[in-house]
Amino acid sequence: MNISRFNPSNSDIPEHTGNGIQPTTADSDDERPGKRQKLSAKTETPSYVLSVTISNDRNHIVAITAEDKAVRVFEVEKTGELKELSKRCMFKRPSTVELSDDDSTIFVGDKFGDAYSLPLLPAADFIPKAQVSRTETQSKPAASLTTVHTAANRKILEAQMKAIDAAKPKEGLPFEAKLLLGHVSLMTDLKFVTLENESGGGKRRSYLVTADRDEHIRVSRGPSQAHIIENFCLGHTEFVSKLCFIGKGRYLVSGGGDDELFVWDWLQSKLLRKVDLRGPVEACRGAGEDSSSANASVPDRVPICVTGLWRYVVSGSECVLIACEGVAGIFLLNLEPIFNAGASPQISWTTLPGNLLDTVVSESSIVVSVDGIHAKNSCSVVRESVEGQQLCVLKPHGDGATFDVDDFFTDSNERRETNRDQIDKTKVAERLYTTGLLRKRRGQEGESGDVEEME
Amino acid sequence: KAHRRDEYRATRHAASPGEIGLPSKRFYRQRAHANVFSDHALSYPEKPEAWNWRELYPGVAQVGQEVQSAEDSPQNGENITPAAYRGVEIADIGCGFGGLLFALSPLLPQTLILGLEIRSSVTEFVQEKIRALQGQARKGDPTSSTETETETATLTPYQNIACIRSNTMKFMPNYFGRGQLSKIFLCFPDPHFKHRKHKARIVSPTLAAEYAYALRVGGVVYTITDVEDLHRWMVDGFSANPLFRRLGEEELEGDECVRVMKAETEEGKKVERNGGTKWVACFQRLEDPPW
Ligand SMILES: C[S@@+](CC[C@H](N)C(=O)[O-])C[C@H]1O[C@@H](n2cnc3c(N)ncnc32)[C@H](O)[C@@H]1O
Repeated sequence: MNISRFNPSNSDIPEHTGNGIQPTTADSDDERPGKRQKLSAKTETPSYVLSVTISNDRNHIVAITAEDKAVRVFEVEKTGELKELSKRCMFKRPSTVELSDDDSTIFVGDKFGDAYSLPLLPAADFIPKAQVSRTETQSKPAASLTTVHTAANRKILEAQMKAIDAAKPKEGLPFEAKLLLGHVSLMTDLKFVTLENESGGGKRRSYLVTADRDEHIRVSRGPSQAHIIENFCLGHTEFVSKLCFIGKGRYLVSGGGDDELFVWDWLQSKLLRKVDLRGPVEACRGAGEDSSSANASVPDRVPICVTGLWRYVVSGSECVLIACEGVAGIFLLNLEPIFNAGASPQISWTTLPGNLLDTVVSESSIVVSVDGIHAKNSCSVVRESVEGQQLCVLKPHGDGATFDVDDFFTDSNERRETNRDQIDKTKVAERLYTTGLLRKRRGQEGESGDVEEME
Repeated sequence: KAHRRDEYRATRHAASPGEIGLPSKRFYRQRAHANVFSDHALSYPEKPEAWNWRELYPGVAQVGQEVQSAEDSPQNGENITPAAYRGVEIADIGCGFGGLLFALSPLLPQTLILGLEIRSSVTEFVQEKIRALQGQARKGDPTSSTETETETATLTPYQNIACIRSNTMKFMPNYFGRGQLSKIFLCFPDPHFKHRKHKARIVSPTLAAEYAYALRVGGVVYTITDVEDLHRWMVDGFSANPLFRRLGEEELEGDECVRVMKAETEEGKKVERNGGTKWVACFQRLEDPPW
């Protein structure tokens, strides 16, 4: 789920890292492309899983990992084990991943705002274009990959191209990937949606909806015409971190650093409703405060930061489940009142035994993972007895608005138990709670003043 | 020195527009490159409708966000619907010291033109110069009413131009709706020679999509540069987008905008002095393909 340490297991998986696509180009936290730090390519730095998605047919899992900027595809084996099929390293650290309806295409958004499409299963025979820069034709390799045939020749050529690429930045990725669109801001979420019969004409149309740190939600046409922007849904005043479609894709719920969730008729870029989230979050935090752990003092005005939105249907009503960073509770917004233009919708909440990290909604139940390391409603205070990650099963309560925390699995695996003592707890927070960092420090002067200049 | 600048600017600012001369550039110079990726202390509207356009164009009765839909917009940008009933139609991206704005203003007196510039001092210079020119024009024209603007559709000189500080690479959609603009100027953009800084260029295949979004069908993007590599980069960037068609030389013949962009921009003049080459490329916005 949200945090897992991933160790590249066997080395015989295809690693598409040729041609100087260095997974070693670590980028710094500010959005400055090109700032480079070299990490030793040989040391196996663990790569943290940033996000995971599963194919509709349940046969594949796609994960994006941080340090190596990789998109990894796993096959779900009969035994339930995962077998890594491919690892493709992107230029920039991926930040969001999504699969097309038919599972054929992966969409990846990155830290610098670009979105790419990749085939789920990379073609084995992909030949990268000879990467020659126009301006430096003198550094052209003697031949191109399409003109050499022997393995030895090819090796030499590859080395040549690598050398060129080390000097000159690369223009293409060594695997099939298409640049679809770009924001000039970290892409926080990307959703692919297909609408059936949208205007009565029986047409099926797909869209890519993308969100960024600069408060934008962009609606583009689907992959074949992603360069056409249909509209923007504007109104957020802080970063947008999550998007969630409901009503067969007709409506969009967005959340981020604002105190409200926004509900959109997104095709018309029309804001239907803002729904207050701060009230319920504060109430939940207040109710969740342990009398036992007095140190878990809850500051009264913490910024709201949405980390998850999931569509959920309870007794026929369309709802959205909401997670907020560092909040030990799960929130539920029933959207029926909005669809029926009725009373203003309310967000209800249920407290959880730890900060909500991630959620899986299945037909029969909801499984959530909670942070067992930090105190409830704190991103920094570590619990006295560290309980590790925990899973809870939630069952809807009779009122349809709250949940009963039904089952509770504490990880009892002996091996993990010992590892747990070695966890650097500050590091855990660094990995778990990153969404809040998207918030802009307003009022800072980003300009280096008035200096002599051009002309 | 900084003190002198502040004083100069403050004095000017306090004076009424009719009484001031044109500002002097030397008090507004600023480091050439602003980081387009950082969070400047920028203020921007959350969406075009949320912006006070009236304040920007005080002489215009109703600067609406009457974004015309691409379908009913004129194919030729120069029709004479009174400016008062529409929004900004021309954007000068990275307008610098505003040479293009001041030259276009009398050429298209009824069209609202907006300069967008990321550097604060440079923006302030342009704003000051606009204010001064407007003041002078009003003084020289006895028929024009003084401070309170009459709500007519005709604009007095220089009332059709304005300049704001903005990072257009990030916030264009916050200012302009779909199909709102008839012309976009990209004059002598910063070249960012280094390959790994190309993402900082104001034209890229992905940004071309945003320019296409803001332009109406038939609208034109004008580009000019003295850097051949950048010229080709811009041509590649726009040509890669099927929503654009490069205009041929004969189609641009007699286009006043091309002449102005070559001759009246600060950079254009500089290149002229140094005997450099000016590369021009213009692209027309085509209709969205069916899907
Ligand atoms: C070389 S100057 C050209 C000025 C003017 N267009 C001319 O032709 O004289 C480029 C200008 O673009 C501005 N600029 C660069 N990036 C920008 C951005 N993202 N948004 C707005 N302005 C930008 C720079 O501050 C600079 O003033």
